[in-house]
Amino acid sequence: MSQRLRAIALYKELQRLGRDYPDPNYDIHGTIRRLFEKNKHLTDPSEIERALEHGEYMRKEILALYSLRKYRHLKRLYY
Amino acid sequence: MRPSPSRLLNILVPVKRAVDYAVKIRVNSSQTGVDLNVKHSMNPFDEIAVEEAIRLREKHSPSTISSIQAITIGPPKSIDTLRTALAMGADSAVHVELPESSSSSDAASSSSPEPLGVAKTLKAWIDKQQQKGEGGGGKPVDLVILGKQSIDDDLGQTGQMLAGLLGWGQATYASKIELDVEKKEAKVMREIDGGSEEVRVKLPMIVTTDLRLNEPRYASLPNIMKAKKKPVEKLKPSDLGVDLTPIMETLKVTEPPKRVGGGKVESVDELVEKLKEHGFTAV
Repeated sequence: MSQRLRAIALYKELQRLGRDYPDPNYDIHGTIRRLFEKNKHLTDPSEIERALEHGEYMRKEILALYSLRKYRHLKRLYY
Repeated sequence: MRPSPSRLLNILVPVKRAVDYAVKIRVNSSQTGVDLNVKHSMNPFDEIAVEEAIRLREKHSPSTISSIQAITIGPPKSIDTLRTALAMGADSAVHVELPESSSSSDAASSSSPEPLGVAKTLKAWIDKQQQKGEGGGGKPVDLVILGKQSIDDDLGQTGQMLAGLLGWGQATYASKIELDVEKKEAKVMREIDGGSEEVRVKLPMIVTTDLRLNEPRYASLPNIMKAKKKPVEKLKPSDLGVDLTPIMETLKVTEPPKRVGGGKVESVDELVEKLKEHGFTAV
């Protein structure tokens, strides 16, 4: 899968995850957009690869945040 | 008597579209229920149930468990819940559609079907699959995994009622499931007040999930796209011969009394005075 397609897929995935972000005051959509736009000039494949990996890491962090939050809430209510 | 165990297993996972866990619940204006104009999602315990079905399939070779079917009973919007289950890894889904509540101002009238109604509907579906048989395209159900309770109603009755209606064994509040396909039985660790209890139940059986069973996976965007192609069967309760009119009527719903702040005392004597005032006497 080309790096461009991977970047687009990652962007879409992060934006969709951002919809459930718990803090309403944090501009998650704008932040994701700015972070991607900051790197749009990259041409070196290894640099792009590093940026994509960083994006993947952020995706996993967000998922971990959501699942932990949910688990803690449920554990408090339903232990 | 069931035929020999050469057949593959079918798992049924009933799921429910419940009020999302993060929503702050408020009593509605007519005090007959909870404000339902809020975000809904799949009941977290049902997510755990779907996850367990998928993990059982991943653990035993894919050829042991023939299919994982999700089923929901609810208004048209419940289809989203089924899509989530399909995106997580279920193979097919069934939607027993209830009419959308007619009045939108009193959202309380569209509250969920009662557990007995749900159990009867599930039994009707399971019986229908049994009647159709393997040759007729039916999927005789061997294992039903449900959430132990839903986070909006907190009734926790559906699994037990279904087991009673079907006459199947049940293992509720499961925190670990070990399936023995050869012997057609399962060893389940149950969470009880004193700790845990291990039971062995013959298939077909009912399992209800406890929080500690597993951590549900996240349905990624590619999986959600793939789920759109998976089959969803639509039914009406009358197709299964079930009447879902509620037999219970909610008279009143109120918020719990507001917490009153505590008071500080200066000395032990004052504490004893205050206790006597409130009616506490020495034993």
